[in-house]
Amino acid sequence: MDTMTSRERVLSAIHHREPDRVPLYAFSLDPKFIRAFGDGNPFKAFDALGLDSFPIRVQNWCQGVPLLASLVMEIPEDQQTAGGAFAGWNGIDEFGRIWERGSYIGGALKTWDDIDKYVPPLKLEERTPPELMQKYKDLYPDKAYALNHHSGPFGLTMESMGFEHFFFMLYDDRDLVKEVLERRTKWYIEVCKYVQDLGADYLVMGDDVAYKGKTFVSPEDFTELAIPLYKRIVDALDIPVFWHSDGYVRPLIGLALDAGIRGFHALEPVAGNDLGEIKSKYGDRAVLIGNVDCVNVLTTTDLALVRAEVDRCMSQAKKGGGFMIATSNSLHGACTPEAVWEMYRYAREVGAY
Amino acid sequence: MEQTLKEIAEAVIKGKAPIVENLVRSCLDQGVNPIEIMDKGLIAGMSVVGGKFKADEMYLPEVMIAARAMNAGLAVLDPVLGSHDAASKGKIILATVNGDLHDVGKNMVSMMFRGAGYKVVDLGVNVPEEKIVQAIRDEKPDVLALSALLTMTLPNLKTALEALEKAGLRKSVIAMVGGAPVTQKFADDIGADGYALDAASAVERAAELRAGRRSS
Repeated sequence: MDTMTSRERVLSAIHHREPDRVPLYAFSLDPKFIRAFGDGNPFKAFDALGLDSFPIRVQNWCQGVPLLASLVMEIPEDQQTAGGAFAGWNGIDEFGRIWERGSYIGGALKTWDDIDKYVPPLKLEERTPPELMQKYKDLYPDKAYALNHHSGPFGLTMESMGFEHFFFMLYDDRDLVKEVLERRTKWYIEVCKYVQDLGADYLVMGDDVAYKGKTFVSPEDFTELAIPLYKRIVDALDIPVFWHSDGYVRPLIGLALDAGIRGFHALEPVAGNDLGEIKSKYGDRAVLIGNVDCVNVLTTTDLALVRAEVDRCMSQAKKGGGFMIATSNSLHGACTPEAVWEMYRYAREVGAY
Repeated sequence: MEQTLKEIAEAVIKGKAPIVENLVRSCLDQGVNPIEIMDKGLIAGMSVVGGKFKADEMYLPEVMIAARAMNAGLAVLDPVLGSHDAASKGKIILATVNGDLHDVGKNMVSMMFRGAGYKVVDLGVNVPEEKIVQAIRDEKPDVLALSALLTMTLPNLKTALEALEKAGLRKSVIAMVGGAPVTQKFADDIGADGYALDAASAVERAAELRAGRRSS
């Protein structure tokens, strides 16, 4: 039986206290779940799933098409292939990333002359309309609000330059890379400060820096190029900052904690992240959010497998607080509604302290 | 001359493309067999890079500039390699499967196999099964390497292998799969011959599978 509000539960967990039960979190939902669980209304979907933190999304555009466009406009079938949240995205977006049928395929920012083109205007009120934010805080006053903002400086710089070009530029023109990183960080801080002031309780900075088994760049390069930026983002905000990344982030966890990052989301098991090992090493300092396998488990309709996966995560990370259960990435389109529903239902059942 | 070949390998490891180019040209001018330049200079250098990548001593940027340096040397050698026997260690076809537009991982695999002396035929991204089948017929590769980055395109790895089976070509080629959502178990379940965690291990794994096939 719940004895706390969602907000109390989340704030307790992220301050390393054991709440009444493990909070439920999601980084983002594919439109198919927003339709299935919320009739197209994201906040209804969050509420139906029982999320304790409601994700606040900052709007981005590709050639005028917003994120989650398929919820508000007709997207031709052939443009929805693999599109999900990016259905309808074709061409170069405002950051310089190149899209084809909703899939990222490369970066357009190649030279110093391109920088101004691909660091977009802030457009703060358009990205996060204050009246909309207030409306949902009035409708759901007991929820925590997480700014889940997947435009972190390092990953976005790599994507906007194209991975291969970024890697070459680290050697051919490192100053170009540093300038783009600097401009992205300043932009990111301004957007996050604005949403913080609208009432976000914490930030989950989406910044993909790794893949299966490895980080994209060496820990030495990451220490030089990214860690100072993370520290600036942490220092600029009054709310706790957590970090979402795909891939194997284990080698970077200590560095990020030293920079002031308070926790980590995703912690993909298929990438090699071991939730239990990370909890035992860093559990007193790091809030862990994730780890339910959304590649091999949530893509099935085997509900016993889903429950076993939730049990695994709980046994590895629940003790002592500092844990919110979530998938090991987003609720992406290959997950099944049955598995997603069962994951959250069962997590509420077994998450009590 | 052995020293120069070592210098080529060293320059590949350090990603010094202009130095590789000059040294390769110098070796050719002095009459060194281009196969020897490739094997003891370029491939030797990339072999060290592959080992360092596996050992987490090098990461993607370092591998990419090493591959760029190697390619600079290969560009000098290519016009003369064609007239020499045994220039290639094998032939591999690469493709990202139908419905998937991602290619960074595939491009890394391409670099590593080129660095190991393979002739690489890259079919690109979003490759329909029919095109893969036709490429196997036309090119008769030793290895087929398929990648999928999205969980949603994983099933197309199986579809591609089934298309090969239907065309009577499945046994003619070693089929490997890889990509972010791919696991060894998935590879086993769909009947792939092999799976590799990353680009560096893909070359090793291909060699193991080829050796196994030759001895069976």
